Parts: sequence; structure tokens; C-alpha cells
Amino acid sequence: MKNVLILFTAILFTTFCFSQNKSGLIIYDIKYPNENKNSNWVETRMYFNDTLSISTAFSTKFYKNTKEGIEQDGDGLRVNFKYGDEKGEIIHRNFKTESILLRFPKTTAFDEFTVDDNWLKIDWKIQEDTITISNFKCKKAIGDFRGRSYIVWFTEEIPLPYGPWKLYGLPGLILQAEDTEKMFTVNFKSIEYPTSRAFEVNKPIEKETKTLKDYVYAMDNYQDFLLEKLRAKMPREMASSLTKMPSKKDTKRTYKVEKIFEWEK
Amino acid sequence: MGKIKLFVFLYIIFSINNICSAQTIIEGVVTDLETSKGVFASVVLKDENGKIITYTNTKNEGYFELKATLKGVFNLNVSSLSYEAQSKKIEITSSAKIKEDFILNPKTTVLQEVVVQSRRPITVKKDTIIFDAKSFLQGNEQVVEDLLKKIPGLNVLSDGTVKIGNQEVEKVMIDGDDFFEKGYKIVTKNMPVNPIDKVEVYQNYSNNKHLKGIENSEKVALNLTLKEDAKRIWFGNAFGGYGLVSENRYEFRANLMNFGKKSKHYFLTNFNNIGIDAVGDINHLIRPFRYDEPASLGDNQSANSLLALNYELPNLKKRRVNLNNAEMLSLNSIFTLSDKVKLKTLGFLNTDEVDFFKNSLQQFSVGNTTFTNTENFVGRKTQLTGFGKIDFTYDISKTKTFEYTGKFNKTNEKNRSDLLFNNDLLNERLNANNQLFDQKVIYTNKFKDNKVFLLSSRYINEKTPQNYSVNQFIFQDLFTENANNTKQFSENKMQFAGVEAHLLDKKKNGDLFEIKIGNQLRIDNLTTRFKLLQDENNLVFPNGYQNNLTYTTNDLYLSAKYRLKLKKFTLLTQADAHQLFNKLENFDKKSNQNPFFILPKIGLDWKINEKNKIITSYSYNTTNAGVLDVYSGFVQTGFRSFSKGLEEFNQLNSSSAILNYTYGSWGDKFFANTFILYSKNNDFFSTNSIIAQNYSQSEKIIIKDREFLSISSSIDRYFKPIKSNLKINLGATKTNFKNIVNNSNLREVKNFNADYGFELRSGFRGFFNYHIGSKWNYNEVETTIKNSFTDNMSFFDLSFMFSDNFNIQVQSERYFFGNLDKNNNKYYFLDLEARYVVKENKLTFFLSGNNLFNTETFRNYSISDINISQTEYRLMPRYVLLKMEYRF
Repeated sequence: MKNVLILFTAILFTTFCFSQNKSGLIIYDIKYPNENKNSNWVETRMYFNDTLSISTAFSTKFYKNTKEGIEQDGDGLRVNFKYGDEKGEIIHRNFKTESILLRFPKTTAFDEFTVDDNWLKIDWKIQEDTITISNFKCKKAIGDFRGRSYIVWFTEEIPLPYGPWKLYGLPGLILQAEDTEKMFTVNFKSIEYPTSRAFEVNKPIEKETKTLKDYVYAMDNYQDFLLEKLRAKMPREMASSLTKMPSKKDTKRTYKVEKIFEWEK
Repeated sequence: MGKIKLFVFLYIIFSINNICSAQTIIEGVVTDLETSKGVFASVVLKDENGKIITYTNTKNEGYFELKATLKGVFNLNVSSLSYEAQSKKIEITSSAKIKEDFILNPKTTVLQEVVVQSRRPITVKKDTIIFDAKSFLQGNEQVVEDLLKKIPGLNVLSDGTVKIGNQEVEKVMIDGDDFFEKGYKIVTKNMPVNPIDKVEVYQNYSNNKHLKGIENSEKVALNLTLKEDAKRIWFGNAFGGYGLVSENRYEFRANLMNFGKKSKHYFLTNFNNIGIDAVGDINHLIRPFRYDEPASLGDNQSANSLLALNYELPNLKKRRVNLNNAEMLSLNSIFTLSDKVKLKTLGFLNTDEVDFFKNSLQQFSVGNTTFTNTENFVGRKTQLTGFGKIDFTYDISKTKTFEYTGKFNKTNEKNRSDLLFNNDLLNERLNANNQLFDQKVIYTNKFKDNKVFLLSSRYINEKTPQNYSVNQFIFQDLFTENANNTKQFSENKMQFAGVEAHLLDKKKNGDLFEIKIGNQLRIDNLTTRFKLLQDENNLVFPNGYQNNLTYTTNDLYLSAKYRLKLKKFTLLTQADAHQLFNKLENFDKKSNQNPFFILPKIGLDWKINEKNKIITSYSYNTTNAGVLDVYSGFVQTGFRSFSKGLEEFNQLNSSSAILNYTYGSWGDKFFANTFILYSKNNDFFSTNSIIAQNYSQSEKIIIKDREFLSISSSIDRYFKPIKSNLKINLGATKTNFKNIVNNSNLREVKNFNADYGFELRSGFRGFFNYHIGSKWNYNEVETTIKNSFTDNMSFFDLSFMFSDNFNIQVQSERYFFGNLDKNNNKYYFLDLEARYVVKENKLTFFLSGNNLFNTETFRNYSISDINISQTEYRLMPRYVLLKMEYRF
């Protein structure tokens, strides 16, 4: 009986989420700093309704995977990794419950996992400068988030506090963003509202969940975790060739979007 | 002190005042006019100029709360997507609470905006990324490799492989000039970092610059640009090692270089007697193998050598069996003669002295004939090689280039052996030379943005004279003469002349269409003279043991290729049409043949879904006979063996099919890969042989129908709890063919080979790792009788990384031969290598121990359709080498 009640409540809640079924789709192009300098622009699709904004990147539904596998290449071996799966990398934000949940695709080092991120309010300083992006009049705002300072352009013509990646909380949608080191850049590509496309509104669920601190540790030591698995798969002739990876541990997180976390200050 | 107190006091007063006086709370509820439900809205307080003072969002049930600190008249704006925005004028006078509710009127809102061109900061040139060396240098870098490691996106593995993303670079150029192509590690591991100004990355790189963007290239290349003031400085390093507790073992390497704007030089040298191939790093420059690359015309043409002293080596690491003493010196320079003209010269000199020791026991069993031969072989090969290469490039205009490459190689090889054959002691002498002269001209014209025309022509002249003598006469059963020694002179002189026009057309949708038309002429002269002697006196040149033939093949061909990509399929179709003109002149006997044939090839890649991938291809081949298939007289190919060709023309037809199925991907926990190859020869070369104790004679015959089937499979499973990967390999090969031995009927030979094994390898993050594995190999040959055996090889490796500066690797192996006697069927090996870095990139010490169990001989077992053999080899004995590396 209790279970039925829970189920009923759950259904009710889900229906509530749908109650205003007006939803939209925004597409951004994002360039992340932690990849190559020549890293690709990654298309990110953000679905939203009046409670949720759900950003998805690296989904095979719209993101073309690079090839992967190990192959002989002259004297050496070439190793290609892919990133992404059907669900993709998700940032699921609920503005009603003020919760933010991250979901990461499976990689060579880790299986799929989710992370409960902290809901941090960015203290935006709104400026007087304006530009027009695709017919939307935009205002400039400056704010700091986890060790980087961002200059963003938002439009009051779309009165939603949403934005790309983890940037949000202005009296209008953020269309464009860049950090002052010019390592993280977001460009607005398109908006469709209302959209007829269906999307998953429920929080992504995976077998494995990491705490935010575990996640940060995993990303800081990603190469080591990767090496752990790779080493086990190497042929014998390559006995020592992987024992030392380039000593490129990025202790200052120079090439990470998030450089300083709340507990590290 | 007083000042601080006063400041704190004032601060507190001011703060309290501030909080008390200025806080005005504006609150309210925003609801929908129709449903009266709360609305998720944006609430903004603006001054009269429209400047945003403060803002918030409605929370549950449309409730909002704003805190204002200023006083005056303001606009309170409430807006929500799909509602009409509302604005109310409010006046904030005192620190009271203001309550303002809003009822919003729904409105149809449609947003359909697409940015055609995103505004992007220009960071990269098309296909080129430039890094400024200064901004990545931290001061502790010594060689180029260290710099590359610091550049984001570039990866340098510890063996020196440079990768961009995950792809290995094609070459590392210096100011646009390339010395070693894929052997770039010579540069990156040895060149100091200080003269470097910028590092440039070229993506979609083509070796021919005009093919850029047209051929489907995924290659990447690096270019190091030099500082203006970095001219004319010599750099270098030296590496030396010497045996500690063993006989005289050593290794010495050195590099010396100088890079100027007008001329660049790179000199290197390598001396060793520990089994390392000194030419290894630059070997591919002599005979490059560029598969399927435009203008690779003639890369597969070379003259044949008929004879080699019996030097086959057991299947062990080369350093265990290569008993060498090598010396190599290489000088390389590039001269920029003008903006448009460049000259590159490369030369090297290599001497090597290799010893061989082999004892074998062969039991022949054919029909009713059975006998046993023993051979105790002690041989030495002395080799001297000189090689020179010139590259000349002239850019006629921006879209046209002329290139010339000239190569010259001369190898003198002297072999001698003492061979105890049964009870006879034979001395073999073989003087073998190789002389190669190779000229190539390429003209490239990019006549349209997406179309390139290449015209290449090449002339190769190569000869391989060989003088072979044996100081005993063991062929009494073949020849009646009263001889006591034999000699043979043989030479294959090859001339190749080819011309090829190649058009590449890149379609708008990315598909590539290629068409080639060409003519290749190859003229082979084969002269062999076998003679019987009594002491120094020529007795006779036996009939049927002499050759003097000229074989000319002219191939006029047209080849078209099209690569088409559909959603989940990639289709490759190719058709080659060949018109051959064969001409054979043998002792004044002339014959001609002009066959025409078409070779189709089709390939299909199918990506069923993320997990399942299939690659298939089918091709039909016709192989024209080479000079070694058509000669008519017997040629001595070993101290007791002779062979001869078919005496006539022929083209052999075969078809082959390949299927490759992959489940999962390499990074997954579970990954399986299966490869199946089936080929069927409609007709093929087999042999008709006479096997006797003191000689074997075989001649080529054509037989119908040979089948070959090979299946191999590998399975990978990663176990997370033990952080180890289990790999299972399975493979089987089956061939059926027919031959004739000792005037038998056509007899069927069935070969079956199976191997299976496993490996378990750890991926611990700590200082210790292991790798263990075992592999079995089953062999079966069936004629009228059936022979089989099973061998096994196991290994166990350990790795200890105590720190970045100190590590030890230990490798051990065990070989087991199922059919050898108990005392000789197991062999153990242990190697150790320790590395200690005293000063990063300045001074490093190595201690390397090889064959620590001092296993001096190694015996293996093999079977064929005519014999069973056991062979014992001598190995590189135990040595411990202390090595030092120093940079200057």
C-alpha cells in the first residue's frame, strides 16, 4: 500500500512537471579549455520549461563521434578514444528545488555516473554595455564562478534565468559567454520556442553516483585513472612504454573550466 | 592600536546604519490570469533610465521577494515567457515592506532564431595552429620533446612517440624542412629547445602540399620555427655503455646538429655489439614503403637475390640472437638555395659483422625414402653499406611543383661458413653485392581548387651479383664428373622505368574520385653459371644448370577508384585494367605473350550500431609471373639445394575475401574482435622435387586449386576489482595444397596450425605492475602420414616505478617444446633494466642485464611435408651493461 502511494505521488509529481508543457530548445556552441587548443566547438542543446533547464552535450543523437580503437601506426600505436553516448553529458537544473545534477557518459576510465552539484548563486554585476545577438538586445554582466571570471551577454527579451553550462541567474537568458582568459567560450546558435521535440525531463539516473568531491578528484587525476586501465591492455612489447606519462598533471587546473571549488577557498 | 579601534568602531556604526536605514523589501505573487496558478517569472527593479537595480525570480506559487537599498521612484517589471510583461511604478520611501501582486495575461510567444554565423574569436588558421614557444617554456626543458610535453593537446609518450590528440604525427620539420620523416624521434629526443621560436601544428597534412584538402588525409605534422639568432650553433649529445661483468660488450651513440636558415645539418652515429640494428632509425629512408600514396610508383620494385647462407633465426627477440658488431655514421644536410629551390642530401655508411652458430638435425621421410642429415654451421657475415640520397624541390609557381629524388646504394657482403654436414666439412663462401641507382621525378599541378594532376616517372637500376663456392663436392649422385668443389655466379639485373599520370578529384560532398593511367616496364636479366671444378680447374658447366635470360614485362594500366560514404556504410570500389606485354628471351629462344585482364575490388564497411562493426572486402587478383618464375636452368640456392622456374609465361588467378567483426570498443570492459581471411588460388605455383640425402632439386609446376583459411579472434575483459585486463587470443590457419616429391603422384598436403593463449596485465597506479601470459601453438602436417607437435611460451614481467627518476623493469620467459627430449625442451630467460636520472635531460644512468640465466643455446622443433627438424642456435650470452647519457 505504501509503495502504491509513493508511486502515485511520483506520477503526480511527474505530471506536475509537465503541467505547463511549454518548452523550448536552445543550441549553444561551447569551447572548453581542457581539451586541445584546437579543440572542437561542442554543440550543446539545452531544453527548458518553466522549472527545468537540461543541457546535453556529446550525445550521439547529434554529436558525431570521432573514431576510436587502437591501431598500428608506423612504428608506434595510435590510440583513439571517444567521448559521449546516447544520453550524453547532462547538466540537469531544477530552479524550483534549486538542485543541479550532472551526468557523465562512460569513458575508458569510468563508467557512467551522476554527480549532485552545489547550487551556487553567481553574484552578477550588470553593466550598461549592450550588443545585439541575432536580433536580441543583450546586456553585459560580469560574474565569478569557481575560479574564473565570466563576461556574459543576456537578453531580457527572453525572461528566463537560464544559461549555458553552469552559468545562470540573470533576469534573462544568457546567449553568449566567455571567461577573461578566453579559454571557455559559449556562442549562441539558435532558439526554438515552443518546441515540439520531446525530451526527457526526469533526472538522469545511473548506477554509480559520485559526490562532488569525488568527481573533482577523479577529474584531477583522470590521466592516472585512464593509465590504470590502459596499462592493463597493452601488448607485451610495450612493457615500459606507458610506465611514464607526460608529467603534465595540471595542479593549477589551468585547462579546467572549474579551477577553485567552494571548499578549497 | 587606537587608530584601528576607531576604525572598527566607525565601521560597525556605519554598517548598522546602512542595514537599518536602507533595506526595503518588495514582495508579491505573480499569477496566471486564466488559471490563477503561480507563474515562473523574472522580476526586475529598474530606475527611470532603465538601469537594473536588482532582480529575482518567482519561487513556489509565484511568490517573489526583492530587497532594495535605494530610495526613489522605480519601475518594477515582471515578465515571463508566454505572458505579456507588466511594469508597475513604485516609490520606495522608508524601510517599509512593499507588496505588489501581478496577474499576467498569457500571450502566444514564438521564438525561432538561428544565428547563421556565430561570432568566434579567430584563434587558428585553417588546419594550422601556432604555439608560441616562449609561453610554454618553464626553464627546465632541454630537448624538443620536453617542450612538446608542455603544450596542451600534444602528447609525448615515453618511447618518444608524439601525438596530437591521439594521433601520431607524420613528421617533425625544422623551419619547414624535414630530415627523417617518421623517424622524427631522432630530432625530438636530441634537439635542444633554445633555438625554437614557435611550434606549428598542421592538420590534415599531406606529404605533397598540393594534395592538401584533396586526398583523404588524417595525418598531422609538426613544424618547429627557429629564432632569427639561432643560426650556426652546434648541439649534441652522447650515450655510452660498457659491459661490467661480461666479455667486451658496448654501445655508443652520438648526435650532432646545427640549424641555420640557409643550411641545416644533422649528424649521427651508432656503434654496438649488443644486437641493436644501427640503421633501424633511418632504414625506411632507403626503401620507403608508402602504401597507396600518390606518386609511390615503383616502390615495390627490387632485384632478387638467389642465395643466402642459411641464416634463419629463431623466433626470439632480435637482441638475443643477433650476434653483431655494427658501426654506423650518417650525415644529413638541407640547403635552401633560394625561395623556390631546396636541396636535401643524406648519406650513411654502415658496417656490420654478424656471427651465426647453428646445429641441426633433419629427419626426412618421403614415401619409402628416409634418411637423417646433421648440419653444424658456423658462419660470419661481414657487410659494408654506403647510401646516398638527394632531394631537389623546385616550386615553379604556387600551384606547380617539380621534385627530383636520386638514390644510390652499394652493399658489399662477404659470408663464410664452416659447415660440418654429416661427416663432411664444407667451407662455403658467398660474396654478394647490391648496387642500386634510383631516380624519380614528380610534377604536381593543382589546376583547380579541388583537382590535382600528378605526373611521376621513375627509373631504377639494380643488380645483385653473387659468387658462391663450396670447397667439397657432395653431388656425386647428380654428376658423374670427378669434381671436388663447385662454384656458382649469379646475377639479377633489374631495370624499371615507369610513368604514371594520376588525377584526384574531390567532389563537393567529400567523395573522392581517382583515376590513374600508367605504363611500367621492367627488364630482368638473369644470368647464372654453375660449374664443377677439380681444385682450381674448371671441369664443366653442366647442362640444365645455366641461365641466361632476359624477361621483359610491360604493363599498361588504367585504374579507377571511388570512395562513397553513405550513412552507416562506406563503399570502396576499384577497378584496374592491365594490358601486359611479356617477352622472354632464353638462350636465343624468344617468346611473346600479351594478356589483358581486369581486376575488380570492392570493400564495404558497415557500422551496424555503436557496438557492432563489420568490415568486408573482396578482390580478384591476377599475378603476372616474375623473373624467378620463368627461368629454365637449375640454380643453386643452398649448399645442397637447387631450384628452377617454369620456363614459360603465366598469370595466376586468385580471389580473396576478408571479414572483420568487432564487438564493443577497445576502451570497453568487454571487447571482441574476429578476423576471417579466405583465399582461393585457382592456380598456383607448387613444386616437383627430388629429395636425396646430399641434394634436393625442385622445379616449379602449376597446380589447380589451393585453399587458405585463417581465423583469429581476441577477447578482452577488464576486471575492475583487481584492476587487471584478461586477454584471450585464439587463432587457426588451414591450408591445403598439392605437390610432387620423388616422382610421386600429386600428393595432398594439409597444414593446420592453431594457437591459443591468455594474458593478464595489471594497471595499478602504485609503483608496481605485473604482466603474465602463456601461449600454446599446435602444428599439424598431414601427407600420407601425420605429424604434429605443441609448443608453449610463457612470460612474467614486473615493473617497479620507485619515482620519476628511478625505475626497474624485469622480464622473464619460459619456452617449452613438446616434441624435444626432456633435457632440452625447456628454456628460461631473465632480463633486467634499471634507469636512474641524475639530472633530468642532462645526465642519466642505465643498468641493463641481458640473459641473466645465461642460457647459451636454444633449440626448436619444426615439421614440414618432407621432414622433421630440430635446430639449436647459439645466443647472446649474459651481459650487464652500464650506460650513461650526456647532453651538451
